[in-house]
Amino acid sequence: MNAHTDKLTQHSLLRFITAGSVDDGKSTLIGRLLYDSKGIFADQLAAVSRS
Amino acid sequence: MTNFLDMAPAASPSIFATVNARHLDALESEAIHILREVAAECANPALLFSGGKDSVVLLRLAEKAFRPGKFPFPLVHIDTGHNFDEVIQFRDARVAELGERLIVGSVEESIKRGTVRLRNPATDSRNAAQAVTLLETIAEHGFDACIGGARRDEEKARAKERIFSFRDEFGQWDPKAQRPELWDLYNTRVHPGENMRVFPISNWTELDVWQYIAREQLALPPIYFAHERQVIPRNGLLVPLTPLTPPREGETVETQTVRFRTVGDISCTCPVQSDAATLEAIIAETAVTQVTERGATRMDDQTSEASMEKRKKQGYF
Repeated sequence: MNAHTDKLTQHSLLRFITAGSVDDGKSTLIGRLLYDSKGIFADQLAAVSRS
Repeated sequence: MTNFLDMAPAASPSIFATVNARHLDALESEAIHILREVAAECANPALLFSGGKDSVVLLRLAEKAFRPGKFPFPLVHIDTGHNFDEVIQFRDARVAELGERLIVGSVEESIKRGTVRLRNPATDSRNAAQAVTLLETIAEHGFDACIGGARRDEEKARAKERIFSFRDEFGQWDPKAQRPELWDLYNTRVHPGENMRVFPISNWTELDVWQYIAREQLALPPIYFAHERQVIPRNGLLVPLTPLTPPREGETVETQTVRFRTVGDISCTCPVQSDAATLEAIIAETAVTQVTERGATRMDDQTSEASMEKRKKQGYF
């Protein structure tokens, strides 16, 4: 068991919700939080950067 | 035949002691609820079983939802005819072990009937053609719901799809006319001819699936574990050397240690370089991987920005 898998077993569920009007930046905020918490894969980021 | 199930490498005991993440219980319980909702609300459902890791998880969830009774639905495999032998052997062994009914819809038959047309029937990818055969199988048996192992983290078209996904009488998905789906309230109503696609493990990630497989000690086809294979490096992917995928001019064939992260039609699924031969090693590798499951492995998703969405609109699962 290395450090990564040890950490995995301690994860619990995080519930998160954004509320706002159209174009307020709900998805942008979630995307940014995922990016900062390293929840985005390299190929996903590349696809977003391309468009 | 059943000995085949013992061939998949087992994880060391330590992992079963530690893979008890509570979120797996929440995901499991949600999926069991969805399966029972299908059994309660749908007249003639089916469960899509390919022998891949996601549908292996689905079968365990169905066991938990319905055993000791029989499953309230048959298993259905849409067979492209271009498969890895290990996966088909595994599929048949698992079905025999469960004692459930398997219906096989064959893309080969659809090609013979003329309902599937490919530019080059012998070698073209038959992944997208599965939609046609799936719709034909649904019509033949009158299914009003098909349970599938699709996950939202696989692909962006799947990310925005509902758990109970409505299809019209032509099997088409309309992403702009999806039904509201609040909490665990599912709208299962369809008219004759229309059908539902139901995805009980929508909210699972690749890592959740591997952790669950370790926790439940589920057997898998051996190609999911590291093995030596002849591959052709092409466009950043490792294309497996098969009669359907010969090397092109100027390409070299190499022997590398690889495993498959997804298993689909043989002509469009690529393995990744890996020496992870146990569940423990695969979980460790999945936890730190920087590339998504399909990004590293699927040729058919890379043809255009919206290829999955397009396929789904045509009836793909």
